[in-house]
Amino acid sequence: MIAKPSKPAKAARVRGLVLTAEDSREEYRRKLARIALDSLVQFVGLLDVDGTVLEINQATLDAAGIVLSDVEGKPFSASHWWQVSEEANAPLRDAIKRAALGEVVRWDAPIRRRADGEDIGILDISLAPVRDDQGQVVFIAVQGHDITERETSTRELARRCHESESHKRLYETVLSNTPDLVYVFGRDHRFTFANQALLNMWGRTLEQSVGKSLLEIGYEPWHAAMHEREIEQVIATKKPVRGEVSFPHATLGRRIYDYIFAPVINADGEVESVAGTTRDITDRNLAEEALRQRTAQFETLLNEAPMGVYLIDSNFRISAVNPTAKPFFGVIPDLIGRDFDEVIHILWAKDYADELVRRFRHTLQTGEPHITLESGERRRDRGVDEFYEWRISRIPLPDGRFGVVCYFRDISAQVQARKEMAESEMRFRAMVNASSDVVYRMNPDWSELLDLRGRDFIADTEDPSRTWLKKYIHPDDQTNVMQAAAQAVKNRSVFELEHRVLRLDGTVGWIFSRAIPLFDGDGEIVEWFGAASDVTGRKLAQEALRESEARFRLIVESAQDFAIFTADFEGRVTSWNSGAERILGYAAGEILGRSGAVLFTPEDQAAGWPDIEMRTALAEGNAESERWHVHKGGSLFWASGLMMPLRGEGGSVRGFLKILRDHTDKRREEEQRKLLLDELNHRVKNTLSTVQSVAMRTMRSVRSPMEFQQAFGSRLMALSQAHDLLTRGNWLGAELGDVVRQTLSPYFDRTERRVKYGGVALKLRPNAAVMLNLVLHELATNAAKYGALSKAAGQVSVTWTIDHDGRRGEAEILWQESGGPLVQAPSRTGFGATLIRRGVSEELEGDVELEFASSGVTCRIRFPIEENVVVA
Amino acid sequence: MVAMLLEEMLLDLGCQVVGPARTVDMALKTIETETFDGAIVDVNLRGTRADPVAAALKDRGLPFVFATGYGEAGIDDRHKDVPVIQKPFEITTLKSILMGVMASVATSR
Repeated sequence: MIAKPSKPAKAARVRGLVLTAEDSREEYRRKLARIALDSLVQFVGLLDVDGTVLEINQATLDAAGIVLSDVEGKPFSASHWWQVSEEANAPLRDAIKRAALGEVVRWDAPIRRRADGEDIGILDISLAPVRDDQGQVVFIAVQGHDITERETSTRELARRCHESESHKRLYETVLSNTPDLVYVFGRDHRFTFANQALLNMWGRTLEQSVGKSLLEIGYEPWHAAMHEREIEQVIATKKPVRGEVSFPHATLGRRIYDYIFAPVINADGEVESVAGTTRDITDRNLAEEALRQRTAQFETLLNEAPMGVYLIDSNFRISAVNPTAKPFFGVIPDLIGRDFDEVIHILWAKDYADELVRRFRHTLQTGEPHITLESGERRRDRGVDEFYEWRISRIPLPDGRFGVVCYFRDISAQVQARKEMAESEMRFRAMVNASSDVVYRMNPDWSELLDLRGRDFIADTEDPSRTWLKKYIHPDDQTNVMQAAAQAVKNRSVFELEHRVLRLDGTVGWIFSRAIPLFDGDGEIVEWFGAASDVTGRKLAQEALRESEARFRLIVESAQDFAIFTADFEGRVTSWNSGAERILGYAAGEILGRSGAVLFTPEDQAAGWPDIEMRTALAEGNAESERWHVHKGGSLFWASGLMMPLRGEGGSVRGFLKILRDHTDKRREEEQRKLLLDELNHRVKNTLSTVQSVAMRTMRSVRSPMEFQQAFGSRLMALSQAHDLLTRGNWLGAELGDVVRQTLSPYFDRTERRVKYGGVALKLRPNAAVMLNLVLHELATNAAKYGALSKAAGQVSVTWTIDHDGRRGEAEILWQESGGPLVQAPSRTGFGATLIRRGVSEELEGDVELEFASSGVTCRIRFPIEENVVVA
Repeated sequence: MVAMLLEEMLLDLGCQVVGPARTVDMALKTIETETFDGAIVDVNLRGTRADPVAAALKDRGLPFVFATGYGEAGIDDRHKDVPVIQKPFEITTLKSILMGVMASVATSR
């Protein structure tokens, strides 16, 4: 019986159950039992004897996420919230039946999720019959424990045991077949294992060997004692022991062995046993000995070698450095044994050192040798540039591992020298390039162009060219170039030529090319080094200038009508064209250097005109002139002139240009014209005076205006005709025959018997022509009125002669009428007769005989030739 | 013919005419030998300038006028003060010029 607690019952509310102090003790206990049941983390339930679910504790319902009504009254074996595997379901039903019959059944059931059937755990299920007071089984109590974890561990353990077993077998197989000796000692120094190799050596089976001590196996006492001490050491220190031992082998004679004893530590950290391996190193040792000897020779060699050598061991530590190599490492203390990586980083900057170390490691790992012909960098420790040629190879070291040997040569001096050379050459090249557009090299006889840098002027060439002439040189200049080259080769002196080239852009350019020969020690020409400058611009300008000058010269020289010459500041002639020679008479050689003032008249020179013209030209830009100039022969000619200052580059005046045109003819013509106009004016006025005179006289001799009109008109006409004749003869004169014919032509008939005339050719001066025209007109008029021409049968003859008494001779005109009416002398002297007499006497200085014979009028006119006739 | 015209005009003006002289030589001879009160001198006598004639007349203090078809340009600088009658002649002009010349000579005497 349970005693009522002394303290009052606890008041609480748990999962709907309310515990209060008022609860009866019985009720309070029932509630506590229920809470306990519901809180159990394991599965607790109550089944009917047929297996249907009556009660399940709350914790299980919570874990499954269900309520009691979900499963209440349903068969336990088929509960939907948990499921046993198919193979387990039958045993479960069987178990329930046995429990209903009064048996306590315990059974491990694998359970799985209904959805995918995956095993998720194992339940340890107990079914216990609950009997009533009569001993009848009325319920079955169910209890379940999740034993999944425990079960998994057990299985894992079993698997490991199995694996371990197979590993063991594998190890044993391996160990049995290795030539090394493998064995295990127990803590008591007795063998627990020996591999086949060892058993063979011993000549025993495993069974004969396990549990035996070293002495029992047959080891000599010193040997056994040594190993037992070592086994103890391993047990005590838990660390391996290594050793070498030499002893006679059963069949192979004396051998050398290397051995290692290692502890086998159990789960508790205790040394359980000592495992050992032994290797026959007899052959290796012999090899090492040989190597040592070789190495000794090698070292001797290295120590004497002019090249630096050092050795890096398998741990990347410096293990040897020959005397030549020592300076390379500088002042690093304790060099031997130091880490190569570290040392290299002391010597070189990081990037360079990293690369070096990488190279060494690569060779160490792969055995691939490496050669660097030239490499250099600024030394970190020394602050100078150093260059090396080095090679590295992997070599086996005495310890049986690999190392790297490095051979190197300090080539800093050579590199430095070469660099200085290159820099010097670069400077030289830069200099040449700066001053030239093309740089080239030719072979000794110029048959081959070795190298050419065209600087975009002409095409570059890298390869030697035998077709350079065709490629670079203008066709018209190829001969020149080769001749100049041949000359230079022959004279062993400088090649120098200005010639055309084919430019990169296809156009023709000009270069000034200069090449010097380079000699070898024997004085032979090795090659030619040349440089050329582009002078295209200058050349074209020169040509243009030359053309322009030629054109200008042509123009100047062909200007024959112009005197063109130049003079300096002092007026001295500096050039002289052929026109100047023609117009001024001086040949160029006669006038050059002389003052141009000689071309002026003395009067103009005295007036300072030469200077005035120059000053005007300077001030005004040009000076025009119209003046007389003096020909070399002293004659004067009239010229129009223009003087201009000649300006040089920059506009400074260098002298003067003078252009003269001979205008003498023009001036003569002008003078002639003026003279003619004056003469014309004079003559017109004289003629008008004559007309005035004729009109006045006529007027006084007529009786009626009608008569005046007739008489004056015909006289005016005669005057006019005389002028016609003179005009035709340029007013120089008129033929007497023409005057006669013109005067008498109104009276010509078809038979030409009425009028006859004839005489020598006699060209009358204008005054005489006019006067004789008037005189003959008076005679003809008179004949027509009163004489021979008044009758059809009447005849007039006019003849003229000259005597041959030289220049002082006279001409005579004879007018004779016949066949006309009887002539009566006029009662008074009319104007006609007056005009005839006075005209001849006053105008011709001649005289007239006028006879009025009854048979016909005769008129004899004489006048001096000199005054009245134009002498041819 | 010009001489004939002048002669006619001078006669119309009531003058007595001496000459005419056709050449410089004849004129100079006439000046030497004849007596007259004044002269009309053609500037150009058959192609010869009549300057010697003018000079001779001036030497003798005889008044004269020039007759010319050239205008005043044909007169020598020495005779710039000598009156000129232009061809063709107008009788009134001839008369006034002659009157002027004769009067100036008369007052200067």
